[in-house]
Amino acid sequence: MKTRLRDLMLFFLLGVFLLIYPFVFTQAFYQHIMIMVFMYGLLAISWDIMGGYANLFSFGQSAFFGIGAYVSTLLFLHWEITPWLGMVAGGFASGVVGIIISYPTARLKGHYFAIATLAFLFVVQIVLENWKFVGGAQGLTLPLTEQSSFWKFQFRESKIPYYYIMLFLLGLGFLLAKGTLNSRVGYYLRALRESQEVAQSLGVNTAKYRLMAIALSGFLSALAGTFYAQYVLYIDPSSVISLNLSVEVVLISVFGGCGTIYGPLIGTVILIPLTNLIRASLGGAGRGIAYMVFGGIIILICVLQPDGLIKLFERSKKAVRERYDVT
Amino acid sequence: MDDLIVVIQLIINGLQIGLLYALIAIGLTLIWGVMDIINFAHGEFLVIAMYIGYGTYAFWGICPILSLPAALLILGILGWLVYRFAIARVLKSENLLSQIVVTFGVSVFLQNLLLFLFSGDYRSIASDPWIKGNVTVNQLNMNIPELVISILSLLVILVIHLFINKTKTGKAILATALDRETAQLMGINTDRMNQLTFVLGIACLSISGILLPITTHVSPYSGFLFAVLAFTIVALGGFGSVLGTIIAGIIIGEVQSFGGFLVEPSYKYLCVFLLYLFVLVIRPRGLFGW
Amino acid sequence: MLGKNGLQAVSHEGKVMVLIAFGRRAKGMCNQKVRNRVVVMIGLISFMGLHGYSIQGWSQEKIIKIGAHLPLSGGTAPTGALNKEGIDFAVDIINNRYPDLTLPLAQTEGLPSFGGAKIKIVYADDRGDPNVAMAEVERLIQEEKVVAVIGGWESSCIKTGSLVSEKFRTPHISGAGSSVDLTTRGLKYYFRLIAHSGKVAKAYFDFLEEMEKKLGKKYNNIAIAYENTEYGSVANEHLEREIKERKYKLVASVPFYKGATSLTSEVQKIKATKPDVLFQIGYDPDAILFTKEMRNANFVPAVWFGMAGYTSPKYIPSVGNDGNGVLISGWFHSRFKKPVTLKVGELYRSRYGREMSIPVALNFMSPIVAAEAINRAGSTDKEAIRDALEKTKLTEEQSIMPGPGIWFTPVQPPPAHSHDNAGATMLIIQIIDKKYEVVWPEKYKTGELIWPHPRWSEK
Repeated sequence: MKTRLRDLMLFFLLGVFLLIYPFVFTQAFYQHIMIMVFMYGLLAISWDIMGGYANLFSFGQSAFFGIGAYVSTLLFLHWEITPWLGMVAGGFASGVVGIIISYPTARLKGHYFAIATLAFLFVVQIVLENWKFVGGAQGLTLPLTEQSSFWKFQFRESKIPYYYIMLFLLGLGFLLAKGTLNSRVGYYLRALRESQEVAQSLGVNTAKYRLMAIALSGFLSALAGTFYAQYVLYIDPSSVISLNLSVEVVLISVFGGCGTIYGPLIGTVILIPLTNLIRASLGGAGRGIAYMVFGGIIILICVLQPDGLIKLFERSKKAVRERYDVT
Repeated sequence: MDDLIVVIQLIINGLQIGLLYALIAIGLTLIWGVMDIINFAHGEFLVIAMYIGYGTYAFWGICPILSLPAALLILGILGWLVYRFAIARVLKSENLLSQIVVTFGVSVFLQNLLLFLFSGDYRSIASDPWIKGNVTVNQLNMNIPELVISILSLLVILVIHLFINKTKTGKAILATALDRETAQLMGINTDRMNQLTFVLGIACLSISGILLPITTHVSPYSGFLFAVLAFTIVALGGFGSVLGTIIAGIIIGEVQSFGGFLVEPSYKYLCVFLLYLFVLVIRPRGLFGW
Repeated sequence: MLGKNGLQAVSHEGKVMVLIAFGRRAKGMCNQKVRNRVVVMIGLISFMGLHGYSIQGWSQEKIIKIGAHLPLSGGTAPTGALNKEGIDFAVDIINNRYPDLTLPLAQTEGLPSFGGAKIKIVYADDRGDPNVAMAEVERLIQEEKVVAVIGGWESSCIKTGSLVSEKFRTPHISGAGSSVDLTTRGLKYYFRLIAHSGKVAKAYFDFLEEMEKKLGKKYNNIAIAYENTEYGSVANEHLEREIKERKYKLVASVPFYKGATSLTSEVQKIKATKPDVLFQIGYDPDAILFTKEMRNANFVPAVWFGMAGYTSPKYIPSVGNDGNGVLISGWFHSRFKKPVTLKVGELYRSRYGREMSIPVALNFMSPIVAAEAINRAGSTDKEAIRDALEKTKLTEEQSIMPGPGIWFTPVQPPPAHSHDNAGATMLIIQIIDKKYEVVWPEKYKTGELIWPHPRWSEK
């Protein structure tokens, strides 16, 4: 009980801190870093649903991200549909694509699946690059509105609305993920992770749950994609359907510890500000150094603590207890 | 008649490039077959070999083939180091995700190390003193460097095949790949087999790598596309199968050659990936996989 | 432990770590865990500390700050470094006395309207990533409080960066950025100096038509091979437009994957259509690979136009004599016959030990144009600077770039160009004997044209 109370207090403090952050750190640069943390956090959570829970290691997260960005942008550019609805549409589109992908890859496991997602990512990228309707390689530019507008999802004066929106999206994603994973679906997914054959022999419809994991993962990533489009106001295939983005998401999640929703979040909180700050402080001299460090950290984590940073905090984390509760 | 010439030219081109890809992929397939690890850093090792080849030309003006012993040594040692300090421990931990990710970490690290050392500039060998020129037979062009590389690839693959199937160590490796536990029971030091295979797999890259700067560009990013194609070839041909790698390599080479000609060339990689996804649906273990 | 600024920077990470660590039971943990935690904390601390120490105070002298975003790290870092050189070189000329240069503000030290105040450039690394560019330009405007923004190399970065400048009503001048649509967005605060891809395409055809008239021959069949990212596809569109307008025939249009491992099929495809003129648009790796594949296929057209990668300092060293004869529509050449260019080129050579290259030259004029406008406005108010920029009129001798000078089109609704440099002009350059020589227009020539393109056996 004491632990519970203490955990609750922690969360409360954290929540308050996050809410007042933009008023404490008023410089746009620091707000930007946190917005990126939230965005990558959402991506990491969505990856973890597939990778950490259902053992489907995907390098294609960026494809879902990009689909979300493109769908909402196209809906806005051609039919002036508010990006809020576009976001949901993008989410569903991603989910559907995820479902379609899950059929041919149903029998694939582990490494094979990973490489298939790699191929999938490239296919999406090449198609978008050559398709004139979606702007091809030139991408799509969102028009600058005269005034800030909530419905048009654009704010001129400051970053603060973006901050809260992304925080809200992250919270939404977090709750959705936790809710799903704490339910029966999550229970079946964990069974699937431990052994697909055994689960099947026990009558668990593995295909259905696999599908659900992929669809949910796609949905959440697409939300982040729409946000990105509205934040940067310009998308093109190489920036939103990029292997670099996918790899960053995977590495962050592994660093933090996959299979728990908290792990990827911790990974994001540490690594995203780290790389941004290295870049800011080293500037030109940082040619490659920031990512060398990134790579080095990943190797260290895999070698020393493969279960991720989260293992270090296991005593104070309910989620980790949950993870080993399966038996 | 003209059309026939074009078709034969395309077949030859596809064959040449297919053999090159197969040589790059052979190391990958061995490593997978024995250790169950996909070496995502494969492309970066290739690039290191390419820089060695380029450097030989840039500093001493001699043909890169002369640096083959040095390249084999350097890549062998590098492979051994990576195995010993990154991969061996991850294998022991039995954590599937780490096994996938650790080589990714190595890839990111190496790529940026090269970026730091050599900058992002693209380099290439303008004119090699020994290996250069064209052979034209009946309007069919064969480029000497590519010819040399493809012949070498064929030889090396043959040697590896013989090694695996005919020598004692080779058979031990084969045994480890087929059934690790039984191999251990038979007294084979599976750890050493792992080590040997990894080093061998990386060393293969040095042969293709040192000559590549003659025909293409070198940069920290050059390895990436080769690596992706190599994965596709290995997955298509079946992890662990040498024969599968050659055949898949040639298939991919021809798909690229004809795809680029008949369809819009920017779609040629699309054709490659779609083919791969298609085969996966039918035969998830690849054409010849274990 | 950390400097005051560093502490502020890390406090949010620190707080999270502390909050979580707060839940820990006390000592008595196994070694592995302690080791890991220490490793992580040391790593964190050292990097936070690095950031803390990087914030410096500004000196007290009178300065006017202009921000510049460039790719200082990542793949295009070498080009970014050259851009920076061009800017630094120009700023030195502005801030000091160079009586024999006819450039604006060269004769004086600093800006006369501000009693000799100097220009200081604040650099930001955009990593060649449009998302990062956006954040960095905002940082330059909001935190560094620059009065104007210059720079950028990748069109995608300039696209997002200029949107931010527009948002915050800050003048933004880019010396590079040839993507046509940068100036068709009707932006009020963005100004572009470089000749966009449409003008580049036009120059090729003006030159071609002139040659056809001179020689009394027709080169009707045209093939285009282009890399299919933004740059290539836009350039291709404009070439196709010229072809249509001038009634040539497009016999092959071949997009290819940027950075491809092999371009053999592409070359085969082009060879099969037997074109008279070939355009190849691609960055360094593609230009190099393509040239080699052309030799492998033993194929040359009568006219071979190359774009972008062919002007890279790596191209000629990588292909040697194989590049001879290629014609390039170039924005600059360090020795084309304009007096001020030759003088500045000489000065650059004596200082940096090499020729002024295109990335250097493109960014050279932007701080000068910016400073000249600021000086003319007599105020650091951003609106006044913007108005002054609209009225900019530099003559031929006041710009080192080819053409009659620098002046901007007015703001117009799309698809017309707003604040595009109407004086921007192209040169046609040919690689002769492993060197770049200007062959057109006549008045700027430095070498004699080789026509038609030499055979492989002759190279």
